[in-house]
Amino acid sequence: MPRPLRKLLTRLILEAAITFEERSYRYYQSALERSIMSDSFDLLKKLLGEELRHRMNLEEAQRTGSPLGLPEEESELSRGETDAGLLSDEVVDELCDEWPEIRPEDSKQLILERALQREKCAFHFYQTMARAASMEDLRRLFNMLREEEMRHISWIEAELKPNGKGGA
Amino acid sequence: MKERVKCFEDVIDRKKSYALLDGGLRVVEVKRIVGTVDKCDELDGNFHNLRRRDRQEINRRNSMADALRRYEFLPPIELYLLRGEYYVVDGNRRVAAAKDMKIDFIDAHVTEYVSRENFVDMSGSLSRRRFETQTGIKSITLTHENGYEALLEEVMQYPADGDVIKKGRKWYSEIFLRACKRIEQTSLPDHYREIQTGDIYVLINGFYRNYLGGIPHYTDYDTIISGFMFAHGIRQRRPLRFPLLNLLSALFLRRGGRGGG
Repeated sequence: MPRPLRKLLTRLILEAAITFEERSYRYYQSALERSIMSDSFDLLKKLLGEELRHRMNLEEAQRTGSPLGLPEEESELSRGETDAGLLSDEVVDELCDEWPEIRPEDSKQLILERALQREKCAFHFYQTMARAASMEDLRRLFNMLREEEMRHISWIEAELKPNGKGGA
Repeated sequence: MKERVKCFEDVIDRKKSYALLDGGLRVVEVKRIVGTVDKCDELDGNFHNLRRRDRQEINRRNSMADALRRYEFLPPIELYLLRGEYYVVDGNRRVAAAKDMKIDFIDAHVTEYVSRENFVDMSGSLSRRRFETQTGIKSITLTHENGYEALLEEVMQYPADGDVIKKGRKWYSEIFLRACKRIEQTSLPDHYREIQTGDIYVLINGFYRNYLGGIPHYTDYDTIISGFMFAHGIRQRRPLRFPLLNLLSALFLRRGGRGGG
């Protein structure tokens, strides 16, 4: 593929990822506004910050052509098989469907369950990105983001456990 | 009829009690000098004398302008500062000449009027004085003066050798000025018309401190601004977001993701 086209395509892929993070950010923003008094506030705020940081990482990669803030060494999970945990089309379609608006009467449980779906969708999204990326730096970036989405999933799952107060 | 200069007596509430703080010698933005203390009826909005036929006055003003044009040293003017605006005690002609010649900054001795009844004003003013005394930096103007507290904290934590004055100097030139320049190149000043660029800097830093514990050190300031604008719903140009281009990348991803290519 000619270099300019490859560059444009890379920037487009990163833009798609930025859009994805923006939608997640807006979800948490909306959830946060409705959860000021809730005990999930800290977790939602932390997740909101994480989505913002992801957006910044992606935009920095788009701006400079090489992602910054990558860890010195790739983790075991990143170096391993990127097909691990890859979901079927049907499951992905279900997870990544358009989300309904958060309503004032929505329970903490429902908000967190949707957040969990979102994070799973994000995990899959970066999994796909990492598989598709031919540039080493980009692949590492997507793998790093994938790992972080995995961490978010465990935070939310811990919060959703009965009597559980997760890693937030 | 010509617009008259703002009058200090009209804006100060004499029923209130004010603390008078000596702001010392400082560099002041000419555009923030908006009024006068004792020549209210004689000057127009640009500090020109309304009595045009006064030949002596015109000569004095012309010689002042000539001196400025020749870069001659002019003594600092005297100003009162009230709620972020400056009023001339002494130096109306120098201000008029500076405004005519579009000079941005002027030296001035400043005395600040701070209402003792307004806690926000009072604490803001004290924050500014603490910042200026400790860092020696007097050229930062904030509309919301409580922001100086955050700036002082930033200077203290700035990783540079030396005392606070030295750190302050480095922080000012390496971080603050550069960031403000970037901010001014965006639509943020249009969006926040009521406040100074320095206030926007404080807002941005406060936002990241709240959500990320601080500004990520590896990130370019343009990315930082972009993140702030996005989070606050301020429109940005994103040329890569045309639907056709999005479709192209979606197709590529679909193929790449499923096909492993």
